[in-house]
Amino acid sequence: MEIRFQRLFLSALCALGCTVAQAQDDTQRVLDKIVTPDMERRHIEEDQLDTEDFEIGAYYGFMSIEDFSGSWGWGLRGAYHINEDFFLEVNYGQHTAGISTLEIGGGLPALTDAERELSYYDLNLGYNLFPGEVFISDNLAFNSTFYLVGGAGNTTFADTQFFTYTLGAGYKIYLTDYFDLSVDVRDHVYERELLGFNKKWVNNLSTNIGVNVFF
Amino acid sequence: MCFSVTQCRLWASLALLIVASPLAVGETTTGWLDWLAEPAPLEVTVDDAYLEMRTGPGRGYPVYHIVEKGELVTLLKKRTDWVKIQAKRGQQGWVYRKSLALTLGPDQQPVTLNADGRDQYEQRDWELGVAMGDFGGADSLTFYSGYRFATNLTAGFSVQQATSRVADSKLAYIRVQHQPWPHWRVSPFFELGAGVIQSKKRSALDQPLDTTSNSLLIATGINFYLGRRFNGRLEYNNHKILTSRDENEEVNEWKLGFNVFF
Repeated sequence: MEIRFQRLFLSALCALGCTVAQAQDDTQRVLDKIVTPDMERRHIEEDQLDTEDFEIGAYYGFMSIEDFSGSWGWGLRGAYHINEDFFLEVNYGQHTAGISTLEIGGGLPALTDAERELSYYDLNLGYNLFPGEVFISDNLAFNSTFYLVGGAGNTTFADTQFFTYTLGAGYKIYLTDYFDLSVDVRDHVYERELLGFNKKWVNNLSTNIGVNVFF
Repeated sequence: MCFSVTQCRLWASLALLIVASPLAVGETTTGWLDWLAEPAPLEVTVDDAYLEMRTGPGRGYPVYHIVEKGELVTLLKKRTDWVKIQAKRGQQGWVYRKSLALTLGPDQQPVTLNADGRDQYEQRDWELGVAMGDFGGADSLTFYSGYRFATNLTAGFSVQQATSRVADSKLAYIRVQHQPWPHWRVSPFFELGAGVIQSKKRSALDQPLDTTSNSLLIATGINFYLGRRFNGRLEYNNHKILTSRDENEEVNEWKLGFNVFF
């Protein structure tokens, strides 16, 4: 009997204690809601921002290949923007050479079809010379920039590699922050010695239109 | 489609898991699909007298809107040294990153900016670079990339092409660089590398001769800080080409280039 009383008493005590604890907990929760504003007190760092310094693109254009007529061709481009003025740029492009000046006169073909394939790559440093805006109409303006590029690379032509210097200038219109159209003219200069031609420095001028996306 | 009870249960639980998982992610904000969720907007309060918003990420683009002190703006993204922000009424424009130091985050503390200039040079980790030079009489062009994993040590790789009238070579190296005094503005370095060289010799008479050999590199030179995120680099490379002939070939190369670090 005594044991039963004891158990009853203890369980009653326990239940009471629990209720008190629960009540205290509830009060605390309500107080928390009142005292703490519903706002996140977080700290902001520059690193939390998404950066968009890389650019990737494709272009299509015409290259005049010295002594070998000219042709349309395409290329790929990647760039890293170091700051608002300078960027690093990599290009790769392909063209097919036409008939040479020697062949036009009725001579034998100087190169096979495979040897007429011209491909190049170059690593350039670019400089945004004139950034600004162009107004299409009273209310529509796009950001634009005129830029210069210079660098070096390699040209593969007639199954031979040529160390090539590149110089160029272009104009770019940003349709949005991250999408732009470009037009540029570049000169690819290298020293060439091919069968039937004297050793000389040649200039292959190319004009391209391109689309680029920042990411 | 189930052939036994166990299989049926398996399918059912799998289906339940697939259906339930997006719900679970929706309820709790932490989950493996978290990166798909839109991050909370980075809102700051302007603490300067005013903030100039430009139409593009550069000082050459015109200022077209002013945000006053005390106004709340949202930071959207960053390109080079410029940050795109959105003002209260939806206008978007670019501000110079340093002006973020005069804005306050939700904790009423200024936004913490990354180091720049000389401090950034001290803290550099990644670098990309190009160099031009003379590879035993041939014109060479090199592209580098490196990661500074310890104060004095940088690991990286390089690809290189050297072209002359008699031969074309392509080289690729894995390299480790040691800089004894990395904090100096002009800092000497020593470098070891291992890789491959692919050469194609040509002459008017012979057929082209292709060879691929292993190659070792010993390099020394100086890195010099040019300003902003540029580093100049002048170096001497000694390439030991392990040929299949009796004698190994040795090529000396001098080159000058620059790195961009970030």
